[in-house]
Parts: sequence; C-alpha cells; structure tokens
Amino acid sequence: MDISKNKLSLALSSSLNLEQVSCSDWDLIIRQARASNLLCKLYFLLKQRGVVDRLPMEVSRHLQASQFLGANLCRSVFREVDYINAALKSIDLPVVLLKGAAYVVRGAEAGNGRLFSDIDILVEKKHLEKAEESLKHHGWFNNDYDEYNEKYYRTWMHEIPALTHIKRDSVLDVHHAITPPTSNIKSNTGKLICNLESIEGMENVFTLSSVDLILHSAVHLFQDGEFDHGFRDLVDLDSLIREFSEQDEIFWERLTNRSVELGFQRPIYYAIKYAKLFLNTPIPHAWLQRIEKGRPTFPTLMDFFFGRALMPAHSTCDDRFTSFARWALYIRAHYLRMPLYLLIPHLIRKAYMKRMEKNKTAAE
Amino acid sequence: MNIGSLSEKEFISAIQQEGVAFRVAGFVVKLQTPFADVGKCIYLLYFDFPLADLNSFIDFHMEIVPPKGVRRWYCPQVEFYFDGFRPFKPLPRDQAYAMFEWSFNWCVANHMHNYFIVHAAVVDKDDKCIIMPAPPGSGKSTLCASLVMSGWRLLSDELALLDLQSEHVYPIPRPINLKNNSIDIIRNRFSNAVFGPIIKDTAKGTVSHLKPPEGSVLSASRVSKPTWIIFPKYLAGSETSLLKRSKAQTFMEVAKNAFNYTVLGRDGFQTLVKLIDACDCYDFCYSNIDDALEEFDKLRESK
Amino acid sequence: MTETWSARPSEFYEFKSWGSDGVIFLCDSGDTHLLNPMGVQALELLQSSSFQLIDLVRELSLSPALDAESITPNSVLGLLTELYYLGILSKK
Repeated sequence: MDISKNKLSLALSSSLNLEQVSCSDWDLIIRQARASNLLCKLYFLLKQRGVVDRLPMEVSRHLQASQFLGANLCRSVFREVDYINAALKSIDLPVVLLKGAAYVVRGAEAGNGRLFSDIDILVEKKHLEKAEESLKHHGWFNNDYDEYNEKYYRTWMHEIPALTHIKRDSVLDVHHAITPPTSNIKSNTGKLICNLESIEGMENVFTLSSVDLILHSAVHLFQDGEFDHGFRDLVDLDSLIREFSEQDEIFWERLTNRSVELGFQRPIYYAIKYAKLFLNTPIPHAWLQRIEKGRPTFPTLMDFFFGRALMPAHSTCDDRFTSFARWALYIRAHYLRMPLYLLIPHLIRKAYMKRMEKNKTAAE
Repeated sequence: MNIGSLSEKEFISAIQQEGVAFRVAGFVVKLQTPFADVGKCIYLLYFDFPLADLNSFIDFHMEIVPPKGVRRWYCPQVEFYFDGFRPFKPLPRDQAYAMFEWSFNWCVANHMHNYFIVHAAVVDKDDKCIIMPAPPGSGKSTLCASLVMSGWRLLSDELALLDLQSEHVYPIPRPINLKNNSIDIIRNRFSNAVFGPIIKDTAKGTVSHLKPPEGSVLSASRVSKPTWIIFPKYLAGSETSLLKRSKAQTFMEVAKNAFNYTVLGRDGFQTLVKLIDACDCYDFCYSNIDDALEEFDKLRESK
Repeated sequence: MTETWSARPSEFYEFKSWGSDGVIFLCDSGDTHLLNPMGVQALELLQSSSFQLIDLVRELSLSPALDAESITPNSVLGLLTELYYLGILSKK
C-alpha cells in the first residue's frame, strides 16, 4: 500500500511544511479530509499550530466553514445528552456516553472538531428493557423496524437497532456491551461500568475511563468491520493516546494491564501499530515491545488489509485492492461473531437488500 | 482566458475526458461529464466565465454521469457526484443540465458556512443591492431576469452570500433558472435573451436557463452593500405596490429562507440582526413588468 | 400572582427589537422566536427591573405603543409563563 497517497495524514501529523504545500496538494488534503469527516478536526489542529491564517484564502475558508458545523454539532450534543439524561435519570440509570459524544462532553482533544451523526450510550443488559421503555416514553423509536434486522441485532449484536427521536430526528445507539455477545473477544460490561468517570457540571453523566475509551475505540475499529470512518477512528486513537499519555505518568502501564484484563491485546496491538504508522503517534519503545504480545499470526497479511481499509475513504487513497480489503475485513468481522452456517445466508440477504434499495432509488 | 476562448468542440472534448475547471465568481468548479449536450449547454451559458487550471485548488469537484446498471440505457437517468459522494437520487437523463445547476446550488449551500447563505435573488445598481427572498411561485426569478436584462447587475438568482458581518453580498452570477410561463415572458420581451434548452417534467415544471449578462460575469469580484430586502409577489391584475414591512417579521422570514441560519447558531442571529438593521424592508406586489422596473429604479434613486 | 418576575442574564439569550416587535434567540435550544409588541415591552421592562404581575400590568397599560384593552392580568400572565418556559425569565 502506498501511504504517501494519504496527504491528509501528513497534514494532521504535522509532517508537512505547510507553507510549501502546492495548490493541488491542498486540494487533495481538503478532499480527503471531507471524505473522512475530518475537515473540522484538521481546522482545529492547524489552528492550534497557528497556521490557519497563513493558508491561502481559498483553502482556509473550507476549514473555517467546517468549524461552524463542528460548533453546531457540539451544541446539539450537549442538548441531546440533557434529553437522554431526563429519560434515564427518571429510572435511576446513569448516562454512560461512548465514542464521539464522550470525547466532546469530557472536553477531550479527540472531541475538538469531531463530527458524527449518532450518540452512543452504554446500558447494562439487565437494565436494557426498562431503558428502552423509558426512551420510548421520551420519544425515541425504532423507525426502520424490520423483523429480520430486529432478530439479528438482538441475537448477534452488542447494540439494539438505532432509535430516532420522533421530534428532533436525533439518532441514539444503545449498546449493552462493547463487543458482540458471540465475539471471539468477550467484553465485560460490568468491569467497564465499575471504572466510569463522571463529567463535571453534568449530574448523572459519565464516560468510560480514559484507558477504556481507547480500548473501546480500538475494539470498535478492528473488530466491527466498519471502515467508512476508519481513518477518523484512527485519528481519535492518536488524539486520545497523545492526550492521556501526557496527563498520566503511568498511562502505558494502565493501558497494557487493562488490555490484558479485558482480553483486548489484539485490537490494541493493531491500534498502536497503525496509529504510529499513519500518524506518528509517539509510543515509548518499551511499551511497543509489550504490546507486541498481541501480534496476529500473519501480521504482513493483516497489513495488506488494514493498511488499505484504514486509508481515508477517498478515491485518491485507493488502489486496486482497497475495495477487496474492506470487503474482506467486513466478512472477517461477521465471521468473528457468527457461525459459518448462519453467516453465508446473512451476507446473501444483506447483498440482496442492498440491491433492492438501489433499484428502488433508481425507480424513484 | 474564458470558456469562449476554446472552440465548442475543444470544450466538449475536454469536459468529456479529464473534465474542465472554471471560475464562477469566487469559486473554482471542476466538471466532468460524458454527456455532450451538457457540455454544449455549459459552453453556451458559461461562455464568458474564466477557465481555471485543473491543478489549481478546486472548491467543488462535480460529475454529471450516467448510473451504473440498467438505467444507463433503459429509461436512462443521470446522477450527480460531489467528489465521489452521491447526495441525490438519479433524475431522468434529459434533466442532466438542470441537475448541474441544482447541484451547484447544493454545493455552495451545504459547504460554504463561512458565509451566511439565503435562498434569494440579488440584484444591484452602483453597488447597492436588493435581496429578494421568495418561495417558489412568487415570481422572483421573472422579476430578477427582467431587472437584469434591463441594466441591473445580477449577483445571483438563487443564493445570497453574505459575510458574517453583513457588510457585503458576494456575487455569484450564474444562468437564471426560469420556469413555465416566465420562460416565454422573458423570451418575448428581451430579443437578446439567450436560453439553454427547454427541460420538461422536472419537479419544478418546465425549466430553462437564461444566460447571465456578460457585464455581471465580468464584475463578479465586486461586492455589493445590502440595502433593501424585498419580498416580491406576482399577482395577476394587481396594482404595483411597495409597502414597508415589519423588520422583526422580515427577520423571521429571512431566517426561514436561510440555508445555514441554524448551523451558524448565535453568529447566525447576530449576522441577520446586522443585515436587517442595514436594510429597508418591503413587500412588493406587481402584475406588470414595466411598472415593476420603474418602481425599482425609483427605489434605487431614493438612496 | 405574588411572584416576582425578572429577565435572566443576557448570556442565556439575545434579543433585538425594531420599533414595536422583536426577535429573541435562545442559546440553550438554538431556537428563535418572534416577540409581539407586548412581549417586547414586557421584556425591556423586566431587563431593567423585577416586577410583580400587577405592577407589570400597570406599566404595560401606560405604554402608548400597546392597545390598553389587550393588557389584562390574564394576558400578561400568559405571556410571562410562556417566556418563563422558554428560559427567558426567572421568577421568585
């Protein structure tokens, strides 16, 4: 794979002398950023480095435009969390935020310029039914009810089908675990819940601990088979690792021990490896060696797949194997959670439904 | 060098292959399409627009292309891609050129949030402009086209772009989208009007695009001061009337017609307050174009 | 009826009036509302001082910009309640 095509990662990791970047390279950087949902993130990073005002106007206005989107999203996240809190507090459940919403609410660097469309929360399985009931009472419904999908989610997935608010159209993903119940890596929601961090000024609102946020991000990226925002998720990991490792003297020890405790050595191996490769994430040499214990059997083979799937989802970053790599990892993710005799009919059905949707769109 | 400096054949060949980059006021667009008829329309209606280097920084990478699969040939359709992303459902093949124009509006309205963007026509004389927000069917485009063919400068027929201090409107003159009866009204009134093809059965009815005056295109870098906000309404048989309207109600109506009022949050509110402060606000009712033009000239002379 | 009403600090909203009516932007919800002449006058009064209902009704009745017949304790209370639930006013 040709990482040099990924101009965006050079800009994000300050490997480029920005004043020597040509117009056509800026064109590529902005396009790759937009395709990866990282335009606003790029704005924040360049602003922190004090270079936004020195960029050509035609480039900087796209970055400045994106920061309005980011700011608007930030405002709506805090509002939405208040609404979710009203629904869960009434039944004595905490609001445990995951992913993007968690980064924004705790003021993490990873939250700066982070764009996303759904809010993710974690609810212990034993409380799931009453949580769903209360959320429904407060206006969140499953808009796209489909019997097969419903059964699929409830059997094989670690989240219920997405809920949409009837008035605000906001989307809520309710997770009861951070890995599918039948996954080769079993997550222990109870252990995560024991280690939550509260949010100052927001009663009843929590996120996973800093180390658990990183582990969740790694597991989601390297087990779930979704790479539409793969590069963005890698940028999250880089941001989280940089920030938390600076704040905590024993961060690396905590991260490594916790990855062993939760059985996440493989995903964290991938996370560290590819964050370093694409974004120059600073990893102390001693800890690199410890993390090597999570190495897969065929690391070069996995490089072939992940090296392509993690590139920005833009044609300028593709080679002739990129589609195949993403597809293969998608199959792998399903294989890791479903037996083969169920996997094949499921994939056939998904392909058929996708084609039906495409034909319906064409007919309209 | 403008598009007209190439021959039509050269231009169509280029747009069908690697695509062509050209300037539309402050934006650089790159369009690639295999459809010769779309290339022909662009050549005709964007004749005066400057070409740009394909290696320059491009604001909007656009493709107007046939779909993959059977709809390429059977009841053929056309799709728009914005740098590999398809935001809309396909349209019938014969609406390909109109799709380019509507897609261009989408590109600006969805991305350029460094401006306050209002769905409105904007015309000016001597750098003081009139912003005309109006829902479809109000006669805004007919009035805009009439003004522009009668000496007013076209800033835009669809998108008012304001800086966030509301001090300037930035021109983005492009072909004016006319619908149904207004096509014949303008064609019959202005013998020098140049039109693109008539496109039938669109969601807006029958549409056609009027080439913008060369003067408007050449002065696209000259900003204008927002001075009036006028809500036009064509009402057959009515007297021409220009009536002052409540500024607060104008505020609410402009906010409704703004693409990014909500996105801009508090900044959007403050920008719109400044705009309303700066402008005289009117309702304008008309049934006769000559009377309408006279009224607008009187208005311009009053300031 | 014996509550004292006042406008919340300006960090919670932005308000602008032009003559009789006005507009208000609510920072929490991001919503914008049109304020009728009575709303504008009431808010301007409540920004300068706190009022009990009966005193506010009296002040508003004296305003030449308003139709005195429409200023009743019920109509003013309705307005105050609405502005309270929008997060513009506080009451004690």
